[in-house]
Amino acid sequence: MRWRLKSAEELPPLAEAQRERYARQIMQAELGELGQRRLAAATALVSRHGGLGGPAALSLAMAGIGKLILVHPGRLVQPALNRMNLMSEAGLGQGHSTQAAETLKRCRADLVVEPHDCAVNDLENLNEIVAGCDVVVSAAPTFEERRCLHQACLRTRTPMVEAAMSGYSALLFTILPGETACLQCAFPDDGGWEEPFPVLGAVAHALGAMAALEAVHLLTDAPQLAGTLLLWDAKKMTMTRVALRRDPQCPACGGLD
Amino acid sequence: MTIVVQLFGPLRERLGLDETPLALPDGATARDALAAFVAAHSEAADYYDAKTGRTPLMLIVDGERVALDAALADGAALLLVSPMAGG
Repeated sequence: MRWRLKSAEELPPLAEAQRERYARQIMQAELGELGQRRLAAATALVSRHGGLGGPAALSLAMAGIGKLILVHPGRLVQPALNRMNLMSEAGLGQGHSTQAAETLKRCRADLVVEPHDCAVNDLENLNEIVAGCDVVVSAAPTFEERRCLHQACLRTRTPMVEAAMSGYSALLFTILPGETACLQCAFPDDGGWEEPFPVLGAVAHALGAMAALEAVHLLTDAPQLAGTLLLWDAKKMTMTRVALRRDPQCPACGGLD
Repeated sequence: MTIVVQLFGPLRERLGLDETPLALPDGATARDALAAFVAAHSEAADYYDAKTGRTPLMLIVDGERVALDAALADGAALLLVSPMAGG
């Protein structure tokens, strides 16, 4: 298993400015100064930072993660402005990742950001990029991109937080390659997925924040949704946890140990 | 017996339906329930292939994922989770 927490000896100390900026979360006992140091030393890739991935990236940046790799194709269009909180009207027609990187750098000047104005499946060195990450947040609106990123995570044993929504339905779970159920174990078939799908910004934002929180848990302590599917019904405001088991015959992860 | 079928994900939006009661013979399985549900809702036809038994749906009863051959009890809630890729 590739996922493991870095020990105190492997991590640089916090600067005084970091200690001051993150004082209110360092006082959270489960996080503490060691957790903050782990965050500061961590790299996360966020695949698409629209209504869901944008809030995830923002939450990770504000929490003090060291580096964010942003991957999102295309240029900003008007109908995206109901939910993409890293974008602005002034950025219409601009590349998503370039603009998101500028927004995040305005929030946190010391954040290292690597923007890619393309989809993950257009990155020739995707495996190499993913191998350099401590966690990946999967938030793209197509199964093609999700499956591609998932394959890269399995190949490189990189933990992946899978977050997806449609209308008032949202799901979240974490994949520890070779240890817990993978995307293929959970959903062997993509089914009747169609674009465009309905999306209210508040639902996507809340799920994005939850995905970031799970990533923070994974980076600083332990993932809470590894092998557990969280279903959030945003209409009824209910949550359901479902155990996910690995499929020993899974064509994607069955051979991993 | 009667169960409640609950929908989650794109199938819910497609049908405009959160949940619906479903009458089934005693001893019915999740497969029977899915077949009966799809027969009653033709818009859901691509979510279950009766010939091959294939479905992209995740079936959940009482917070536990179940297989198609799982027996259902009277009053059970069968949650049908369709795959999602929205972000």
